[in-house]
Amino acid sequence: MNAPDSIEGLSIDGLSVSYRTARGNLSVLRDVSLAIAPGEVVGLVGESGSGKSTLAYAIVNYLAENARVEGGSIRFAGEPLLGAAPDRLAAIRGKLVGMVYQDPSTALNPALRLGEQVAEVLRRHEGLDARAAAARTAELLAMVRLPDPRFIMRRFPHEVSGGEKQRVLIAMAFACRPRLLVFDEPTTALDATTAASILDLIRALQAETGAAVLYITHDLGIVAQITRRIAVIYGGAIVEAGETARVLRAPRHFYTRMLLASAPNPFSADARLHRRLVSFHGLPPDLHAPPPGCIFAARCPAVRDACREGVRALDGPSAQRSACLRAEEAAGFDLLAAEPVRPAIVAGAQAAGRTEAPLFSAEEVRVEYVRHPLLDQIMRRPASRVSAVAGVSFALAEGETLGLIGESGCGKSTLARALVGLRPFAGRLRLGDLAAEGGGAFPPGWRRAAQIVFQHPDQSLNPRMRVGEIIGRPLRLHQGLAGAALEKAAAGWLDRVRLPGSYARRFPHELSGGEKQRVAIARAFAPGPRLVVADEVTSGLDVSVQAAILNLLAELQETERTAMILISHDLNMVQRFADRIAVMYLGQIVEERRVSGPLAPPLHPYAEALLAAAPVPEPGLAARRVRLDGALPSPANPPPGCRFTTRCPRRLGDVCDTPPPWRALGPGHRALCHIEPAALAAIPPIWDRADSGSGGGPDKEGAPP
Amino acid sequence: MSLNYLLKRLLATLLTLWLVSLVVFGITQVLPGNAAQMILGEFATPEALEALERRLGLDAPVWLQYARWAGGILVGDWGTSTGTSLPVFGQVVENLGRSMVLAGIALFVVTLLAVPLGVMAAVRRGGVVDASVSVFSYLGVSLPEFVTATLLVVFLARPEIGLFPAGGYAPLSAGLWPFLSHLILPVSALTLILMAHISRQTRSEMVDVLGAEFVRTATLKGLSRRQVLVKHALRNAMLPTVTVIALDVGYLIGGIVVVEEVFAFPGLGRLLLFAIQNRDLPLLQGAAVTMAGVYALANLAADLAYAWLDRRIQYE
Amino acid sequence: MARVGRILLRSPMGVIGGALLLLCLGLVLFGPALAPYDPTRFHPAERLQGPSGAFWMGTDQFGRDILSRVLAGARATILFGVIATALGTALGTTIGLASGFAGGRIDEVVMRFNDSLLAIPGLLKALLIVTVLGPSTTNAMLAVAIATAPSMARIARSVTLSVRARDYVAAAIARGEGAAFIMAREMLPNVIAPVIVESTIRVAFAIMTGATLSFLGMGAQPPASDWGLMIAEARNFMHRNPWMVVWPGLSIAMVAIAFNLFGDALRDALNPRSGHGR
Repeated sequence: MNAPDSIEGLSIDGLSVSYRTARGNLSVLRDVSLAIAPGEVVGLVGESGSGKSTLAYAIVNYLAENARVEGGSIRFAGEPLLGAAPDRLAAIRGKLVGMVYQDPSTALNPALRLGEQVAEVLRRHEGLDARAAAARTAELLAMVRLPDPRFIMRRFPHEVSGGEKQRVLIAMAFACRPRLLVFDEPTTALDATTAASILDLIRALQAETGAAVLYITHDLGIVAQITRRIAVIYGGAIVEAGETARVLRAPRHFYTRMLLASAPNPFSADARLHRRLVSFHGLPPDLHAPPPGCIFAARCPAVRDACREGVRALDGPSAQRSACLRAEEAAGFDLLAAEPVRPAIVAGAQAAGRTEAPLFSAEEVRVEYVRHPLLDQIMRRPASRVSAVAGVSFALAEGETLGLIGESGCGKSTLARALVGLRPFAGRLRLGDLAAEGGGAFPPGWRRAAQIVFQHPDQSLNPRMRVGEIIGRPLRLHQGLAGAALEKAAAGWLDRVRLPGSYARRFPHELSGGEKQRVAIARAFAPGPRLVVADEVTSGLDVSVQAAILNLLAELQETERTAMILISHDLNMVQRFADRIAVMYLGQIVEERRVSGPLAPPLHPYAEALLAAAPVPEPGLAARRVRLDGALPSPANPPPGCRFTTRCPRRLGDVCDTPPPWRALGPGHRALCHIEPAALAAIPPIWDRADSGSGGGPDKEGAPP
Repeated sequence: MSLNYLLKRLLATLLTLWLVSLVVFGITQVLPGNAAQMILGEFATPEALEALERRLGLDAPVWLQYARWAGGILVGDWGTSTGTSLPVFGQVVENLGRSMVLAGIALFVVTLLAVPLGVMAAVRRGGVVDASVSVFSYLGVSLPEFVTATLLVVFLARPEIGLFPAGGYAPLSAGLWPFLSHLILPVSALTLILMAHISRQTRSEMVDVLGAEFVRTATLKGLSRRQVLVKHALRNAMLPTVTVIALDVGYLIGGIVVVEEVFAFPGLGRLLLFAIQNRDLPLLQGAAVTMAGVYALANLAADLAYAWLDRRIQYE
Repeated sequence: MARVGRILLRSPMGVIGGALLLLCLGLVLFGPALAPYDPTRFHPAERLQGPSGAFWMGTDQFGRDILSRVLAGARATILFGVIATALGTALGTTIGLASGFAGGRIDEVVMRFNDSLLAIPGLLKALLIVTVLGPSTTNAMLAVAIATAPSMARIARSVTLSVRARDYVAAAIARGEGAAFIMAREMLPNVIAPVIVESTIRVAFAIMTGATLSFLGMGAQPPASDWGLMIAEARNFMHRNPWMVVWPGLSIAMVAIAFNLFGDALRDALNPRSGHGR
């Protein structure tokens, strides 16, 4: 690949990096070339282990002790960065090159005030004295839209929210007006609505300063919004690079194509037809011994013998280059033909025409956390009460999926645990002919009829039990199986979650993350439950693994006719897999509706903000800008009346300080809001086809309501 | 630091001291024989014993004896030693003072040496300092004080060298060198094991902190290596180390018993051993409660120092 | 377990510690048999000798062979540490597990009391207990065991609490397992491993405390061949024959180092911390 003509920006040329490990050389980057011109935003898209973070830190010459640069160069404005002298490096870092990190809660020093952490950069690079640095810090914090800079400056990191921390880090990165910024997944650790505001900020500051930006992410939806060019990295090699809109519309590499197809996209052509995603098979390549030929060959549905030979380099016109031998065919290839799981049921049709009585119902469920330490009891201080779930009601039919969506702290996981009897609650639950009253004991059959799959399979599988016992336990308990019959049944379940029978003898640590989650799913379905609660089951997994897990859940649910509650923070995923959606905010359901295709008004104002914040990997789609101000109120002290009122962009007035009524917005569609249904229906659509075909990011911002 | 936290910690410490007093009192209660027996000896007549028991209040119910004893502890009336016939309080205070000098110097020396050593070992991992610290600390934690102390006497306090006295104590009023010369060997014996602990702890905290993401942030801000190490890393590494230093006061107290015995140093530890050997119950109670009290206060001080250094605590 | 073994063999700490531990095992099994002389036999003509061809480590004030006494003391000393720690671990783990399982008010009261016991320095605790029980090797062993128990209880409880909060326990509750199964099968195996690792390191502490008690006259009594006691007895003669202190002192250090090294390596192998500094 040729180096770019521009001497101004960043140019990475033929970079190869490896780590020395106990098992030999791990080849994390091989012959990677990338150029960013001044003022340009380039996205680097990859999953965990793809080498994208190593690339980011190689730019600032900050690699792990066991890393070795095998070859290649990194230059910024013509100056070589690799192997720069320590003094020069210190002068470049923070001054010419700024960085923003994935997790703002660990990236800030917990023992230093926020103001000092920004000011020290200014003193170091700009030679400002303490007073001038403080004044400039206040300006910078105002620039990143922190409401009271002088107040924030005196706070310690633990005293502010995650979004505020990320703003401080962004202020720090922009402090010396750097000419290159590296963003390493800056919104991944944040909630969707917060992430959307941070993306707005990054976009605005970039436009203002004209800095070159490398934006690293696993999320194709984000690159669609903010980058003009992207590079897709897999197994330490860039497999496709080019203009964002082109790559997303018509990928020329099978990895890119599959990545796109495995991410739920409510606007994709097949979204309305079935509930299956294209899934990846096999595992990422072992980079201790990278295979010859195409790095993706082992998992590619269109692989040919020729793919496994020689080294494949990026090829094609600079607008879209690909390392694929069959680049022309990637966009049009029928990926579902290679899927073992055929779509059985068409979404929409499934939801329609359901009239029978609900299988499961929850009425006025409340969950409180009470803390009352001995000392407080002795001193006769009242217990501290946090109401995590504040009166939630919903119903579910056999075979139906309810998507429960909300941001962290909304009480969705607490609710999940209450439903399967892991958390004391108040209210009434009914499942078939079983009924559970809050405070009382669960009826004997409940623990068989209601099962849960947890978020982290690492924590939900006992590390000291073999897979066979983990799956066999519920069979023994609820179906009375033992001996050979038990083993046979357990093997049958392994097969149904597409794991080899030999896995029965394995311990969980011998399985990959996705395989562990399959075991957890088998365990949940094995006793023949009528309701399965899936609590963020894919959020710890890579995109390429997620799809297979979701497909599996959908398949088992369809064949077993199980009712399912799919809890997630990912609106795109829920739109694709659920028949109905319930939106939770601060312990309450604020909107409930059927899903058929992309969500559209009428919408509860919170659902509107969530929808506008969800990045969709669809080029040329512009979202109307709806952003929430302020922080989530504490569940210990929720606002009286409407719980959303403190952040609601559509607040009417004092009436919102009284409890809102349920508004009927259509068949099976209701919202907890003071706004009249007609006014909610008049909300303009969130998504709009942008006219420009090539523009990656929507530049226009919708008029504030 | 919030008043609430301060109050909580104070209450917890008081509760601990109360339970410790119960334990110490309980232990002396189950000992065969009582103070009257100790004073009068084996061949006392039952009448004489009974009379003395009544005088000493030993015929009262156990809880009343405890209440009297604990009340006395609170007002400074710690009873009379059956071995020396002197008031326990005065003896304990006098010996505690000398032990504090010994322990204070040891702790000061240790902190001064061990923390920088631990930091250097962590910063240059795998270097000469690191290797030495690691070998030295395994030796340190594996050699009991009585071995170290005895070896020091064997090799450095030989009569023919005459460099250090083999034991005893000289007050500061006797001159600086006599005072110091009596302290140098005991302090060295106490220091070894603590050095090992604290340098290891500092090293491991520092290694952890150096791997933390905020240190990466500081480095990538372009700060100098020194600024990153001192301002960003060391500050955070010191927090847990403070707790370990306080925990080491516990070892120090154990060490002092042994070292004072080896060097015939008239401190609290030696007083305790004297009380044990002579079955001197009032003295034993007084010395034991004092030692436990000092340890509890050291822990309280560490908690407060930690809370002051780490402002996150106040929100718990 | 095989995996842990492999990791252990990769670290120099684990290899040295393991080798020293094997040596200790050899001493426990064969130490007394290897002794060239009866450890209690007097050689009046050879009192307070330095190392020589006949007496490799020299002789003490009664002319007893130091090497024979060191070898004879090895079994007693190492078994002392292992048994005392095992007893203390069993006691402490039972209390910690029960308290952690029970939770709530019971847990709070038990742990408050446990913390108060922890607030008494270890050696002081052991001394007080031996004072009650009377000086002897068995009593010293009990004292060290009781002194060890509170810290093991604390560790066992904190592990129990963290295991109890795991989702696999929640999953067991949710599918309707009984309390006995959850405790025995889901929790116990996950609690035991870290407790055992912790107790390995504490064997060194127990050996050192036992030796210290003997040194102070509160443990083994003459004429036993106990390393701590040997040093105590040597004190009146140490300027004439320093070897009387050096050999038992080195022996204590070697055994303690063995357990410290091996315990640390075991802890690292089971819980590898990924440090990546620059």
